[in-house]
Amino acid sequence: MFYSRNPHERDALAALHISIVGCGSLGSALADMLVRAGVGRLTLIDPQTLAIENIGRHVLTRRHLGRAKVHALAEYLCEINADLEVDPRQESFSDAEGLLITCTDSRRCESMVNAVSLRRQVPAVFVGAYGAVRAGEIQFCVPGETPCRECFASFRSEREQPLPPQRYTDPDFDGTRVPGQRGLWGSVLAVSGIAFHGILALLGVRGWLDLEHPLWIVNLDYPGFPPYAVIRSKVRRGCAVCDETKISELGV
Amino acid sequence: MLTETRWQKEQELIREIFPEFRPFTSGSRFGFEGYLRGPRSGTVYRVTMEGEQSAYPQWPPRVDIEPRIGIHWIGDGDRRRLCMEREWRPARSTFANTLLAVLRYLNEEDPQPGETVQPEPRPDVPGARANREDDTQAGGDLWTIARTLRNRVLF
Repeated sequence: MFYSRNPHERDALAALHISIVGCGSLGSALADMLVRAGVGRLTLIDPQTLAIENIGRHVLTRRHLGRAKVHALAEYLCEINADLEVDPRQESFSDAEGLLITCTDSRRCESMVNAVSLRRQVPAVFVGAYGAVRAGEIQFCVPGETPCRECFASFRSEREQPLPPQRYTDPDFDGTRVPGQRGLWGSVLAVSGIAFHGILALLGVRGWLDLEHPLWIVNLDYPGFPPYAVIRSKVRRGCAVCDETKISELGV
Repeated sequence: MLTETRWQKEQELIREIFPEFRPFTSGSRFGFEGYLRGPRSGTVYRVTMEGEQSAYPQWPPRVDIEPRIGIHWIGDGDRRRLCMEREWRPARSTFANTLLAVLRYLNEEDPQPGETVQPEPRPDVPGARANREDDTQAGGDLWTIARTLRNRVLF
């Protein structure tokens, strides 16, 4: 019996539908954990194919090279649980059902997921990493109960460092694909592992999620934060995307 | 996804700073259009800012300027659009500050008279070449540019 060591988890998750937007390092690791925990139905969304440079930080392997990440990942996950109902979509995100988990480095994609979460009134979890996964960022958004992604994104974008001037001179520069730190895959697993536990708490499977502190910074060794720590933060709630009354505050 | 409240606010903001720009809706598309005159060449540019109801404000409006100047254009055919160096924040950004960015672009890219071949200003636009000396005073921060260029909004 595949789930004989975690039957209660399996019972709680078997009927659950989760959509994972972004099937790169974090998304693939989370998908792996969720299927091993017993999630019965997954939608996988990602437009990209698997490249050789992905292999060092992805659950997929060389035999999947050149294939759509979603199709290869679906095949891999069904090797874990043959009863898994999986819907792979090689496309950019436009809509999805179920609990939304976003593991993308695209701000606009996050915005779209946030909008769908608000429209459908379903929770969304945003999982990301920065500084070559020296730190991770997890935000739990429950419409009507927590701040939405834009409540935090607007705050953050005002404080972010601008991208380096290299982007103007290096035609291959891509700020989202900086070289990784040593121990990168372990860092990915650490961030996705913490996110996974947050998702279990959100679903009421294990633990309790403090929605007053819906933003988690998972710090490995990013300067300025305690090393190897999870810092839980509040986010001011209410912005022009999730709260119609805030639209009147929009200015030029 | 565009809401009626947001659309009303977008129109209010545009009316406040560029009352000559007109709102439009066309199927699932919506936005504003109007005319600006280049600060140096005097060329009249038709500016169109267009959003998709299902994707706004998550995606920024598509901006087109006609005639096109500069090299910052991406996309093909009728979806070709101006690529502007600015961050789009759905909870903060609006059509009005998109138009301010267009003003900055025109202020930077509009050529000196005779420097680059430009189509002639539309002959049916009254005052198309008026106040050129004043126009060259545009500079400084965006608001300064906006205040200066505001006088050049023709319709």
